[in-house]
Amino acid sequence: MTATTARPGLRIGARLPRASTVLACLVYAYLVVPSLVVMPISLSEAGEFTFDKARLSLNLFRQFFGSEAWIAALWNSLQVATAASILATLIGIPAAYAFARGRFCGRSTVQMLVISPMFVPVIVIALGLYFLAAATGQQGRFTTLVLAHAMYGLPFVVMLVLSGMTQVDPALEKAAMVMGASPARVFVQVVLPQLKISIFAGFLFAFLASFDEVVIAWFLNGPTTITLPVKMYSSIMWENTPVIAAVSTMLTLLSFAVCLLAMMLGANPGAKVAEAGR
Amino acid sequence: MIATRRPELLPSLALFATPAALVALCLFVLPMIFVAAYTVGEERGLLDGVREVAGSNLVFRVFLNTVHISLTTAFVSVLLAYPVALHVMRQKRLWKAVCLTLVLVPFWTSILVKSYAFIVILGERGVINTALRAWGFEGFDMMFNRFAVIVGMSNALIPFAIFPILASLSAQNQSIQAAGEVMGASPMRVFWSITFPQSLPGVLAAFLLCLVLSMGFFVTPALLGGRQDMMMANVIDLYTREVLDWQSASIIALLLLLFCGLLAGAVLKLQLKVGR
Repeated sequence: MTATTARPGLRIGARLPRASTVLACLVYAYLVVPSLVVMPISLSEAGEFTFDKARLSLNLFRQFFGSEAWIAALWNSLQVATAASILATLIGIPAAYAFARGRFCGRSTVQMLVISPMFVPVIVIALGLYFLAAATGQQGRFTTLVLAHAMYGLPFVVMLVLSGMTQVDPALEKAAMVMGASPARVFVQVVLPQLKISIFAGFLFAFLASFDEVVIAWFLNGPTTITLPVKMYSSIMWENTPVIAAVSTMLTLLSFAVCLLAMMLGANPGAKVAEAGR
Repeated sequence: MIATRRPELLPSLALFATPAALVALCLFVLPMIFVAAYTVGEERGLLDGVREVAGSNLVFRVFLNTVHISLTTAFVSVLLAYPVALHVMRQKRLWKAVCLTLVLVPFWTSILVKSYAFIVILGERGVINTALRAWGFEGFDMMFNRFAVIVGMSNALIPFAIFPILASLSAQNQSIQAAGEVMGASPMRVFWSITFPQSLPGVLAAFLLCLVLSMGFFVTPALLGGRQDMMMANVIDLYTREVLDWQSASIIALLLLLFCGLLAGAVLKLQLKVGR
């Protein structure tokens, strides 16, 4: 290539990073702005879009916290998500340890089975759970929903703890075992303390996954187990009350807090989860 | 290292995985078996059921909708995700964290919030139309149609597309790019003949991932689309809870599963190739 052909190329090329940066910023805006647009609306009197400072009010939040139906839905969601994420964490940590270090037949099959709910369309799982609940008479029960959401959150915990396990030096476990510690003792005293961050991140994301989950909760709901997303879904569908703006704002802030917490802990769960999806 | 070969130092740990295996069996595998079992109805056999579903005008239209919306969404998502992945990769430390947060927060925001936001933005009296009217233009019909569904869905799927592309960009050997630059290639040329071709496996993986995920979408088409934009998940819901035809619902669900399985298989095969 001669210098003359390289030169105009250089000038065009210099523009490439800038053009792609501009595009990238537009896409960031496309990703972030929708959730932000909801915030000023939630702070208006009756759900209209306004930047008028004089008309800011907490009216919609007052409506939310004054409504028995919304509070019941929020309370249900908190209970289900807490129970389901604790269950998923308790089951998921030892499972991830077994997947990383164990030697038993069918290990990779079991691992695939535990992770696969992440890759199967939720609607298919929800339909199956609906049939199962109908066949066993467990429809609309709190326990059913908790178990279903524990299954749904389990892959998140397992993925995060598995990626945490790559940072754990197997030599420490071997040393403990050589000195006569049982596998259970090695797990509790040597491995668990090193996994604190992954475990906490796994718990957080299992919680958020359950708290935001609509489809399974929609199929399994009964009069007493309507969760916040289910209530929100049917509200948007049938009445479209401005209170939804207030709920959306709170949910966005929750997601933001959870992500920030996870990033501060040094975990990058989204990347892990999405990479697993490859 | 000799110690690792001694059998007592290789615990089986099967018991550690048992609770998780039980949960997966009872709450994932068993429901799947139920779906498979319900494809055989009490009055209609499997073949009759399949014939009826295959002959149904509604199901056929919904299937075409699903394919069209999913392909478009996957294409748009990958197209928009690429510059972001490129941008994130170029950032250092703090800015990288900031950019990743900008991607991760929408990734973990409820799909309901995002769908509601687009109702607010695209609606008849939404942000865009209000602004247009305030400036003396006419408003557009942007809601309850395919456009709204694709906008809402690609918004949800872009983060999923970013990570595989980012992974394939970050895995590249930077010295090849440097070599290209040293030899006088313009940044544009370095990008098109070195960076981009090497990132194609990641792009394809992102595309297939988006395709699989979008096939199962439920909330966005229900809230942003019109009757004519129903997708397979919506028709499963319709058959289960309104028509009460559990057999057809199961057959459609298995069809969806089959499709996603084939696509996911393609993703895995690709990953094996990339991971070589």
